[in-house]
Amino acid sequence: MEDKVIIITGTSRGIGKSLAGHFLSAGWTVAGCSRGPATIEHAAYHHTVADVGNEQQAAAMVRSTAERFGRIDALLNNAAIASMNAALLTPGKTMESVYRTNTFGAFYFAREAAKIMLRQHAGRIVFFTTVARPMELEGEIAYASSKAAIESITRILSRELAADGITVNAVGPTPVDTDLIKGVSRELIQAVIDRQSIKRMGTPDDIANVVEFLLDERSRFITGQVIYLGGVGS
Amino acid sequence: MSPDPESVMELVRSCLVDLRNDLELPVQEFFDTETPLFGPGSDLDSMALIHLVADLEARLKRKYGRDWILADERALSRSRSPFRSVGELVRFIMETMPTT
Repeated sequence: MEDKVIIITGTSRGIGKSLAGHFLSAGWTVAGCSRGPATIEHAAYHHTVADVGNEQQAAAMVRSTAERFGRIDALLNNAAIASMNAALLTPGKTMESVYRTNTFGAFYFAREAAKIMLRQHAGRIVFFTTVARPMELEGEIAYASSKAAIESITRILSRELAADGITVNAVGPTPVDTDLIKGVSRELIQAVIDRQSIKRMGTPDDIANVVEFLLDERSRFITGQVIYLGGVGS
Repeated sequence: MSPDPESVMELVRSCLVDLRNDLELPVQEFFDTETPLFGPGSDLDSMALIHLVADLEARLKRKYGRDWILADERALSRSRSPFRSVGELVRFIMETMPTT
């Protein structure tokens, strides 16, 4: 069987690194990127130093991956930055930098990967949102609203790309113990968990499970969906 | 190889021939800068245009080693689209040439 090729953004740590490990173990060729050097050593892992919010760098990363491996089967738009602050104390610069990475960067990668997938008449794009979006969490104005845009992008892209055999879905994890939430107080994390139906932190495996389901060949009839973990409703 | 309007025109022409074949559209015998591409006088729809752009970007990269991004807010405008004719598209490609 031909190796499948997946692009995962934000692979230097956290969920992105864990997902990269998951798909490497499953025999995929993984093209990852982050702003810093690679933190994964594996024969089938290929790293690019890139700022996902830079349109030219995003395009170059996707296209060189397609050129090198001849195809892109899936894109996991994982890279994100978080910000906790009261809305009235949030600087414009913070809104800009969070949107630049979380929203614009994810859009650039999806647009470029979809162009490759169009030629294949097949492909899977998975975005990452958060339970902070449907919970409309206080103190998460930049992060949660940047992910609200991602959910809209997911649905619109799913419609525009459906005819070409490309599915576009989003996964919305609960808090997972990674660097992304290291600045968030224990009380706040607990308050989020208390609002979930299943009251615990998420694990990287919880996320990998949903992603794997969405990438499964048999999930070809599922698109435009946002799946939250932990029993959080939309 | 450095891009010039003539070689870019040739590349656009070959993309269009392949696109029309793929879409099973009638063979177009003659292309010049006035040939309509998208909008009035053209039989290509927006999906065909998207396929053309994706193919063009890939071939531009192969030929010139540069990553063009042929996205434009006027793309679907009937009167101002840089994709409305072959000549406009060649001009747009030359204008948006990446520096490296």
